[in-house]
Amino acid sequence: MVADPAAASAKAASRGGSLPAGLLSRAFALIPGVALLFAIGDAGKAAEAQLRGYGKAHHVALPNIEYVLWAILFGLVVGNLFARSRLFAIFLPGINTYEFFLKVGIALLGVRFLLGDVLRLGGLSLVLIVLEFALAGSLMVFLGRTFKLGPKLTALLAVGSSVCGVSAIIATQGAIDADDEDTSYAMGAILALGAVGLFLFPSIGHALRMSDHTFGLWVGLAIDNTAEVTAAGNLYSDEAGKWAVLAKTARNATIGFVVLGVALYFAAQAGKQLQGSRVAFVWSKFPKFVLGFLVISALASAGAFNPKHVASLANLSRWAFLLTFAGVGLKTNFAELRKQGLRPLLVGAIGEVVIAGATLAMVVGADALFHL
Amino acid sequence: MIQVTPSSPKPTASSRGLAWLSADWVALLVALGLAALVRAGLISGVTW
Repeated sequence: MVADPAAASAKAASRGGSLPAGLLSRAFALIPGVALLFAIGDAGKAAEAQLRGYGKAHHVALPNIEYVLWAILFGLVVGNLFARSRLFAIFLPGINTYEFFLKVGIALLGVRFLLGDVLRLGGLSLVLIVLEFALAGSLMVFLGRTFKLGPKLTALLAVGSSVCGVSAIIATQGAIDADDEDTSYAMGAILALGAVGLFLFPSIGHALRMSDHTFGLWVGLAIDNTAEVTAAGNLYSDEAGKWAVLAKTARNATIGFVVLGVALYFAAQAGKQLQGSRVAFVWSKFPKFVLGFLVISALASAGAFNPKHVASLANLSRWAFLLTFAGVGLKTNFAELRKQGLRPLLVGAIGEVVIAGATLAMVVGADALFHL
Repeated sequence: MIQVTPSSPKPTASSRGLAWLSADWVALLVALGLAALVRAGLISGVTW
């Protein structure tokens, strides 16, 4: 991944290559991995259809296993079997685009929401997020001290578990100058717990007979990584997936404020001051694809799309999510997760269990009050 | 007084941060572009 455009162009120029040629070769490098995402996602869809067809044809009551689960499982098998092979490296640039497809899918999902619903449930989510952050922050600080984790690792875990997973951790790492090791521990813990939550939450939701709205809101608040939230919501139902993404998007929108707060705290501790505008800082951390979600939702609410347009855009969003689910499976490497330290994982796990219970209580309470 | 910049003090962090931000903008533009193409009828009948 070449992240700095200036450095990339300088590198290309030093090699004697032009920027368009460099961009073209980078685009070509994505093809194998994106094709693999498509293949695995499509295999997941086919597996769901085959199983359902077999059950119908043979009059057997088979469990309805959603394409989401198939895509993740196929991805897990392929990723964990071949991650160490040299050939797999060819696919990695394309596989890493799964988060990009997630963002496109979320922005397009705006077509399925009326702006009024976005503001109502998004606003309610924001209130719950504030409560969740206060709880998660205090709990993680307490657990971090109990388990003797460093303050920066504790802050990374708190931000990761309360705001939005890996991207919040990466944004905070830059802001507080945390070690790479701490960052990778925190990311490992959040990803491992997200992988467990992905399978656990739908079972709990079914056991508690939660409605699509309440389950979606709960998952959007309790699971940390956006890809896993989307997958867990869609594993429950299409409708729950939609509401999970909305709640998580509201959570993602707070990232700038939270990172700014943490950065200010650590700067004060070190007797330093933050440089530059705080508004610019918050904007720099704001996930811009959220604007796409809001614009498309506003256009749909204003009647800019007819029912056929809405169906096409909603299906494009589903396809984008399908590639994401395949990517989640491919990128979840059990060997890598096992390498993470036990204490950060334990702190994360205890914190997540408490947060899951607290957010469940919040969502059930909000449902009773506002009839979600 | 010691001054610290609020972001990207390390190359690894800054590179990851920038990648995330630029991908955000591209995702936003791709989604809006797809919406415009669907609205204009240039993409239609997308099935699932």
